Amino acid sequence: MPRITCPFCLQPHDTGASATFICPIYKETIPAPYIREYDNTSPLWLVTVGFPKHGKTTYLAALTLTLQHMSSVWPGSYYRALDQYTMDAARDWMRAARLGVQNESTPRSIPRPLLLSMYKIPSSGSRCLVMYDVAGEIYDRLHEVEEYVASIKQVSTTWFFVSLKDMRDQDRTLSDLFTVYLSGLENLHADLTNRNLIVVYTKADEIPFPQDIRQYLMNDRFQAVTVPDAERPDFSTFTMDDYYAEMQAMSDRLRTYTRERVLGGDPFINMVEGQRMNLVFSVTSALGEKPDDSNRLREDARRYRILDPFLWAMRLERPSVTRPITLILDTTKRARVIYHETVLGDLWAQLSTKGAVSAYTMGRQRPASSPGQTPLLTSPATARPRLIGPILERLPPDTTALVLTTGRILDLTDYDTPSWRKRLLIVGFDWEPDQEWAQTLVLQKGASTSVLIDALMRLHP
Amino acid sequence: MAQPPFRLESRTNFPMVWVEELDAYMHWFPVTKVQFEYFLCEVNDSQFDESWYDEILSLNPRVSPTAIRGTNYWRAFITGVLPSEAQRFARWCGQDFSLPTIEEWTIAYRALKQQQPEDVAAILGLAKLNERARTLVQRLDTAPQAALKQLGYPRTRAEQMLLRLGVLEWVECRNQASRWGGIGETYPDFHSALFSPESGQPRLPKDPETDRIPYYGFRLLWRPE
Repeated sequence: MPRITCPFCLQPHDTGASATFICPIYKETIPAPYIREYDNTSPLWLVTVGFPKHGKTTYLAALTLTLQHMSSVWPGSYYRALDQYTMDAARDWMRAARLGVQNESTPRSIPRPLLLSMYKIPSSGSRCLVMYDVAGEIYDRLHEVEEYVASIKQVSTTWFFVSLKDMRDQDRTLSDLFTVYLSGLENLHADLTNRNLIVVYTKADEIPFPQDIRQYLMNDRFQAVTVPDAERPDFSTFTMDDYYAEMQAMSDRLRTYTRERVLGGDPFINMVEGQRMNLVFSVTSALGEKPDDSNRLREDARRYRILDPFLWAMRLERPSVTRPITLILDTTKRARVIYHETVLGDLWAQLSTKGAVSAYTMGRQRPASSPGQTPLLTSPATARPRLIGPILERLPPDTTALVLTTGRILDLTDYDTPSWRKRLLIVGFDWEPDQEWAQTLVLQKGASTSVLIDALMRLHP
Repeated sequence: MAQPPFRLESRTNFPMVWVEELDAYMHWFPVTKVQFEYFLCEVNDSQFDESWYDEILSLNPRVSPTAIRGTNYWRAFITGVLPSEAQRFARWCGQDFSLPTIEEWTIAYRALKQQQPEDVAAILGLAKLNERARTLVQRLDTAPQAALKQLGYPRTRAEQMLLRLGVLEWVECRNQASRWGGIGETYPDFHSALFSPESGQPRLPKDPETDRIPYYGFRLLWRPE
């Protein structure tokens, strides 16, 4: 059975031989398919950020509905809600969609994730969406972000929902929302570098966007997917790569629009870029028109560009999943404490969300575990010399490596070359490295390993 | 069939030179710590663990290739190993590898004494010689030259290969009281002893199978089929 990252507490668990597993912290059952398919249908972690009534929940409802219908255009693909909670939420959304009423706002509480698996997506395979729909009210107050949204720290892709009309009516700016988000993450000691921020302009039908943006919305090839008995467009004439190219062009266009036309847009982009985050833009309309005063639609909803934020999330997460990462471990007597759930277990689980992780032990050329395979949490019987050279020389040139050690590495300085300086992170475990190396950190016993992940992700092979 | 003058030993990709008089390749330098570390990282023997290597390094500390100087170059070589451990390394290199006998070593030494130093570029140009090994070869070519000059030795290919002023090298002595002896010469800052390889007579340590001698290293011969 795989070692998994829990969708409730975001901590790693060894699920043992049982099909299901109860999170010891949240006492929630982790669904069997989530555990069984963990390696092949890897989680796509997403968190929503946005002020109240900016359309987050309505968008998620539209997305769920759209994904349910994608098999009509993506042959062989299918959708599955993994637990009762997600099934109930999806049913409520579909009822709301059928009756033409808007969805209830998200209650203000620690968000429970929605677990939706989407299988056989063209060019992307299968992914399990783990979505945290966070109540907009939480983003009204700086301190509540930290309290309610611990998941925001772990999740590398954020959907940033913005209704430009509501933002203007509420006298808010884009940079206001980002400041709340940033403060929350800073209080959680999270590093934003290389995180993905997907700005989703919602309720696009309410905004007098320039003609080219409106045209993009209306030309959505997937628009008719959720419309019963609608004529299906010819999908043989374009590929998903074509679609991604259109999305990229529109993201660039919306970036310019944001800088020039959105209140606080220019400082917002500067702030995000200053944090070295990946920023893209998308535009959607989950209903196609504004509901009436009783919150009802007068026509069947027409949903535009609903898939774009989802496809962006998959595209932005994809490179990191395949990034080769090497973990090199000390095997000396002092290092036995490393081989524990809370150190190696956590580290491996977190690294696995960032790339394909291979583990080695110092002084041993043969890998201890291959990507997808959990390293043993028992320290090797033989303490080997702290040597990394024969390992490093076998690694592909695009690999970044993290060495966890409790003492001097004998041959480290042999690799003091420009190539290795920028892709080798030395982490002293409860030990201050006394060797000159560009990238070193100390991990104190009991400290969170997430700081190591952030540091490793900053390395560029 | 004529053999290429230089080849890389396939396990560690370190250079060997063809010695016509032996009909064999010989390691260009005494075996280095870097070479031995590939062995340590590949074999399963629990004997070669952290404490074993700590003891070895305590006898003659390690130096990184980029830090090799005229005052420390001998630290690049693996020393303090027992003949049986050197043989284990030889077996790991392949079945055609062996420690030289005193006779073989002396024949090679005398032959190489008659040859001019090689342009090291011929070795550095060998495919598969990696960056670390290249640095090591280059540094070991230049660093000992001051020592040679100081002691007034002419630089022939034998000196270039550090058959002299390298380490004392384990050789098999079939007609001696002890099976294992040492030959070569060390630089006095490493180990001072009035001993020269010219005589062809080995030094005979009292307990070669148990006593780790800090200035004893080795190099191998390879007779490819």
